[in-house]
Amino acid sequence: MSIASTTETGAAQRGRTRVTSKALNKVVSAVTADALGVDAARVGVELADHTGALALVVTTPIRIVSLDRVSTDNSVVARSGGTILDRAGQAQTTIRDRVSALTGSQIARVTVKVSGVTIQPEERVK
Amino acid sequence: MSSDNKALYARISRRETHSPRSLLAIVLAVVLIIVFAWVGTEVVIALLGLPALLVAPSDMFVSALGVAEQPAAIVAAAGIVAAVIGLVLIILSLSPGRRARHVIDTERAATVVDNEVIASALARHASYAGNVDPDNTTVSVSHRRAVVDLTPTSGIPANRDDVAEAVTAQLDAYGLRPTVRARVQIAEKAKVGA
Repeated sequence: MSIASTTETGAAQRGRTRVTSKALNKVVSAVTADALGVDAARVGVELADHTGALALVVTTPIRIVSLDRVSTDNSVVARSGGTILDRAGQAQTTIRDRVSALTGSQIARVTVKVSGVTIQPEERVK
Repeated sequence: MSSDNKALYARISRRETHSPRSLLAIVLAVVLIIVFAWVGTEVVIALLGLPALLVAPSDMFVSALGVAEQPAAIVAAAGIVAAVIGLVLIILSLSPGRRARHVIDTERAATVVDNEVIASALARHASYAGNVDPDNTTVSVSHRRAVVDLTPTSGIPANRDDVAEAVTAQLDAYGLRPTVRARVQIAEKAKVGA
């Protein structure tokens, strides 16, 4: 971080902020859970290095609408955010942007492994 | 500062930055004194016609000349040992015998600093400049070179120019003699969460 180090009052002159891998894990799982609408405790995160930048592998379930609803009304898929692949793809971008913004780390790539589903009935707007 | 002091400080600095060979010289001198004293004693005893202490001088010369008749393996081994000892002594006597220390230019005193001290000072500045954890910063200082090794944190790249600038500025400020040039190496592979 050149700004932190070169300026007279930059962060590096005051000390150092360290984001531990445990904290990174929590942030990534929370962001993933938020993006896919699942419980953060069920998201597994692996952190690795990719030539100096972070490489994330998240293993997560994904929330879908029940197949009964899809078979009676096909537009439900579009309403719930698209197909599983579409949503996983969007989640990759969301995870990259938000984790990067929250932790200040450069992220090389995000791998989303969908390990299961949570079937959620669409709730009626009250 | 008088020229007297200057010469004195130069001598002190030199003594502090170079290893004295006195121990080696004393050991060698003692060994040689003992050997020659023994040979002298044997010669006197032989002249008086008394029985020899260990070996009579005439036997010494005969056995020295008869070395060629001894088993080749033993002679070769002894020769190699003697050659190695001789080589070590020659290298020790000709090498500069520098200690891992540098002299700092000061007006009022002769100041000598260990290379480890320079290294840890540089490591602190390098780790701040590169925003790298101090644990992942290694610096080794030799006679003319300081090598700074940084392992950055994954996702937070370290800027090599910043580190080089900070380290060079520090080295310039210390005013070491002989001057030390810095080389900054940033590891390709970073550490996660460090």
